[in-house]
Amino acid sequence: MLELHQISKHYQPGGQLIEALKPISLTIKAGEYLAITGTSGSGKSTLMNILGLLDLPSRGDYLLDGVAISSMNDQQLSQIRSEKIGFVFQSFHLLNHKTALENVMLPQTFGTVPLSDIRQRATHLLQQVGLAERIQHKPAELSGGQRQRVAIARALMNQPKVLLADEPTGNLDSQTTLEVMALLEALNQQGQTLILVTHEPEIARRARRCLVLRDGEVVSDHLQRCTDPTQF
Amino acid sequence: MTAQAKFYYLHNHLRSCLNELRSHALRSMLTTLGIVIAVAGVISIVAITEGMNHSLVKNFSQLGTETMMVRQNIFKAMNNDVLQPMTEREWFALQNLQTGISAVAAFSRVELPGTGVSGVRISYAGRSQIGRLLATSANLPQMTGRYPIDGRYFADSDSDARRRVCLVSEELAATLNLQLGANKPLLQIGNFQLQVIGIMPGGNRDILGTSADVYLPLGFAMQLNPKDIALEFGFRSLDESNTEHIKRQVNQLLRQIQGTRPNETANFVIENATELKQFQTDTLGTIRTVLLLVIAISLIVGCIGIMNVMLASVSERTREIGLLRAIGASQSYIQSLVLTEAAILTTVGALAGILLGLGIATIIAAGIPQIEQVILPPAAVVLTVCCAILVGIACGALPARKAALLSPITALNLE
Ligand SMILES: Nc1ncnc2c1ncn2[C@@H]1O[C@H](COP(=O)(O)OP(=O)(O)O)[C@@H](O)[C@H]1O
Ligand SMILES: [Mg+2]
Repeated sequence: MLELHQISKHYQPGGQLIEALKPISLTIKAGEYLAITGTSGSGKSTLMNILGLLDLPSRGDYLLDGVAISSMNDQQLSQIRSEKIGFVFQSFHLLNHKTALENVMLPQTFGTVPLSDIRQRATHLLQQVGLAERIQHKPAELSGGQRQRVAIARALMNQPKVLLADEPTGNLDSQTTLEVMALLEALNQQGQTLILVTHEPEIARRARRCLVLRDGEVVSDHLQRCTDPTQF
Repeated sequence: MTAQAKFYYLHNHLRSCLNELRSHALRSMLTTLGIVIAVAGVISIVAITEGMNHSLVKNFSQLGTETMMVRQNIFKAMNNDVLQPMTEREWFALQNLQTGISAVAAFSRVELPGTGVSGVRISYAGRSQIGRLLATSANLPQMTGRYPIDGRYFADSDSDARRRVCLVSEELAATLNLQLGANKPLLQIGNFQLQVIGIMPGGNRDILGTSADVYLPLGFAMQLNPKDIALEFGFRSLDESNTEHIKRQVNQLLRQIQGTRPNETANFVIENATELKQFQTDTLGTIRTVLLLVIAISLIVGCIGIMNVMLASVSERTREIGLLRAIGASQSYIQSLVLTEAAILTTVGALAGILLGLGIATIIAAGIPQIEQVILPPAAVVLTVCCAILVGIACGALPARKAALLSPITALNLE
């Protein structure tokens, strides 16, 4: 479903060339549960931003659902982001002045769906992530785990093809980490493609497939679980 | 997109903007303040000057072009010079002038002891109202073209006999619930009781100062308060091509009677209706232009204010915009979001400004006797609102562009 051919990314802040990502080829199938891992600065976020169309690769081809994205304009890229990709961030990125419900509704407020339908779907999703009692709460009135669950519900709003989570448990304690991971994995069980970026071996080990990056290069791509934590 | 989809799209879009504005209610209000004030300024000036213009046109259409007025030269009094008022002496002389003029009407404002800025208390059958008095000769209606709508105007004999009769304006009659019946109603003004014998059309306001709430015969008024009577005159030239000649003759005659020295300013001014209209229209136009210019400048200042606040709000919302971009909002969507917000702010500001402006105009107009009513042409409203929307879009353009071009990754990584 996601195909990367010799994708690379480099930055040139002030003349000095930084190769954030060296040429990578990668195929991710529908329904997969992939962990992207590696030390800080190894290029995990860069790769994820490219996968999520937030950033364009410097070189290489990226096919999403069989469509090459290299020739697309901002309007088309945004459309695909909206329809096929759901993001979950380390720091949740909820809007503080909106309620949980309004935050979840957000991805459809720039579409053509009637408001009542949006509200219904958002309420349903909040029930699904176990926050039925909290839909009118503002983020400040929610715990970290609850906030991340609101963010997951928001990411699911447009029934994305792929869920991209960048360090989703980075701001959570160990108990809520387990809860959030369980939620994400349950979604994967139901067929949701899940790509998880994490620098924590214990989290990465839970994935069915594990990609290890070091200095922008793939050093291992296990189609089985990550077994050897010394790799990174 | 189908029509329905388009509707939902616009509906959602507008809601997003309104939610955003509502969640920053105070900031939104402060942003529009500049526009509210500027629009209120424009609207009040237009409403007042339109009202004045309306009175002008109405009065002059009744007068006819050949009418001439001799009024007190109030500028002479302003220059700390002694202004010698005109009396019956000048009136009689004018009436005897051997040139082609009609009968000469004379009139004067009357101020009784206790008269305030807006007039004296007038009472009838338990009701009372503050109003203005005007003493006139019997032939005033012929000069102004305004005749009683009920009853009759007083005759020379009423004046000569010092009869205590009067006419009231239609508006005053309505306020006092006064009707002419078989036995004439008695009006109480100060210490005097006057019999109402007729009702004059309209209210107490016009540009020429020939309208009042109560019209009294000159004879009675002079008996009341002879010192305060300062006559002004109106007449028609019977030969329109000869107005300049008539003017010269009247000037010469009055100066001679008043004993004005050759290089001294006259105590009167002679106005021809056409000139007067031109002068007043010109003055009105100049005042309007100057005021609108001042407002235009304040509008520009208001715009810069809006732009500034919108720029700040975009910076403040960087993270939010980054998030919207990540979850699928395109650059053009973000741009239109900010533009729509700006347009909503300025439109609401303009509407509030129109209401405020109308309020201000009504209050100001109440203090200007020449204005019968404030008038706000619909075109001015439409134009103001259109201008405001354009201004909003113009002011929002830069912030909107800044917002659209934010890199979502950088925006999201800000903490
Ligand atoms: N906008 C940028 N400009 C310059 N260098 C960048 C930029 N974004 C990332 N990098 C560099 O690319 C490398 C990979 O970064 P990143 O993908 O964020 O790593 P990770 O998420 O694994 O910690 C780092 O060395 C980082 O400094
Ligand atoms: Mg990272």
